[in-house]
Amino acid sequence: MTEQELVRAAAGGDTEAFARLVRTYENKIYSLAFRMCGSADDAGDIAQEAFLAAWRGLPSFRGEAGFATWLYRLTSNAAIDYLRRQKKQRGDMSLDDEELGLDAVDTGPGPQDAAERTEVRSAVAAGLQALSEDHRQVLVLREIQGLSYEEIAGVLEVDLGTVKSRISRARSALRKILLESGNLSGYLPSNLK
Amino acid sequence: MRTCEEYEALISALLDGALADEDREELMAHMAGCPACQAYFDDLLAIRTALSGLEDKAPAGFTDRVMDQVRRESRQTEEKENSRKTVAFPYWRRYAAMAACCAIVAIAGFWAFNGGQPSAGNVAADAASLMDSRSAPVAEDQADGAADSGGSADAAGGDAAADGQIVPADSGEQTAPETAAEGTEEQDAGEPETFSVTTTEPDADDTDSGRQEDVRSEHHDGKGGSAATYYALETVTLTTGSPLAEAWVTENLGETWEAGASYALTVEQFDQIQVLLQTNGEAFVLARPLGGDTLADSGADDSLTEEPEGEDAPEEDAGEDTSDEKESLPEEAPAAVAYVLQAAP
Repeated sequence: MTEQELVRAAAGGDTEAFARLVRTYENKIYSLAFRMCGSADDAGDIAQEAFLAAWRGLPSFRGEAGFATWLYRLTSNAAIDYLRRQKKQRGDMSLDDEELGLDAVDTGPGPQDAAERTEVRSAVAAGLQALSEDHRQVLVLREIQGLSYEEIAGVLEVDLGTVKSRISRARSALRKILLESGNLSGYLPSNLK
Repeated sequence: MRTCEEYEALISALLDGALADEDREELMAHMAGCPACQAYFDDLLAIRTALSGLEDKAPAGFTDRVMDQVRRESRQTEEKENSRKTVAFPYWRRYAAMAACCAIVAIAGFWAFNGGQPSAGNVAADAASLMDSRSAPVAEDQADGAADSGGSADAAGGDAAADGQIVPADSGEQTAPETAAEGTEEQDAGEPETFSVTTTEPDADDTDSGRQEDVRSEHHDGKGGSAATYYALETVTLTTGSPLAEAWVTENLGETWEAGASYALTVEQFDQIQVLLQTNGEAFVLARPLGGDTLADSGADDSLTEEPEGEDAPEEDAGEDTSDEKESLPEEAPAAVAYVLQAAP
């Protein structure tokens, strides 16, 4: 069964077909959720919510954007909703706490631990969490999920030019964070000094 | 000449393989003489390498957990849909109920015309069995009441239920005998043989498939032609002995509420009377046509054949969900449909 056939079957209520789709995408979706929110536990909830949203939405899914793109979009939206809820809950925290995004990142044990043993990798993962939602989202989609500009444009529903410039700015912002935290030993250009 | 900031955008595009040849050549030439941009490129490459190594795996059993939830939702949706089908008095069932009511009214009329006197307690039970899930228990209660009050009292009780009567949910026992007593005076002849098919005793627990078979047979074998005439009526018949309806008719129609009288209603008025009865807690039985074309015999037969499927409606739904019906009515019933409020004879 092709993915398209699985999607059609799942849209018709075939739970087994949907299970195969979930299995296919579970790592990618979980990873996107995790990199967006920074917490292993919450990533599981977000990813589950995204898949449930897909299940509920499949009957009306028209497939113009492709199933994967749609799924990434659902996940991305679920993650952003989660982050906003978190922000609201932390509303009474001081600005300093807000700014200490790096410290707030859950770097505790998780399935990704082995992959992040090197210092740079941990620092980059933490730096990612300190980015704005937009920048984090676009970088996760591009660098971790490996989506093309076109696919990202589909997920975010923005034009290609926006994708391109947003990725560029996101990379620049992440570099700045890493340089400032001493996790990148590169030459600091004059415009960042 | 571009600035370093502009070259940074090109570096980003270069990493993604999205740079046109001439831009790439220009960027390479610039980086060869610009350590800052060279460092920028190196850093972005390092970041990219680090990020691409961040491959996360979903926790063990993730898919199973998702699917447990999906299956649970799927079951809930099914249950919900099933209960909605029951509660919302589906299209085909309305059709069936109306057809059944019309058939029974037609038959009763025919017999009345021929001097017959139906054994209407049974007719009431049959009519009740063809009502929707809410109406059935109410109508059957009334049929029981009519039957209990004595054999001669059965006729009008049966007709009332057949017509889709507005019956206060908690006063079936009181209403039925009264109605029946009046009905007795109007009908005075012997039992017509066509009623012999509706012999099932009223029984609130009966799922009534046998009774529907009876009514269907009646339509085919007994008074099919006569019933077809009544199918042509595009009306909704509500029958009520309610003082509320009486006051409403006086106030809104400027007419007097009389037993056996029919009142033509607009869609709005029809809505209004329903809301009035609902808000005052008066349960009522509602039967209505789907509107549009005249109901063909074949269509009515099909509907009647399908009817037993809906008979497992829970009794507790009685009188609670009339708002669903009320909401769906204006959308489903074309404006051309005439609505009739009919007082109990």
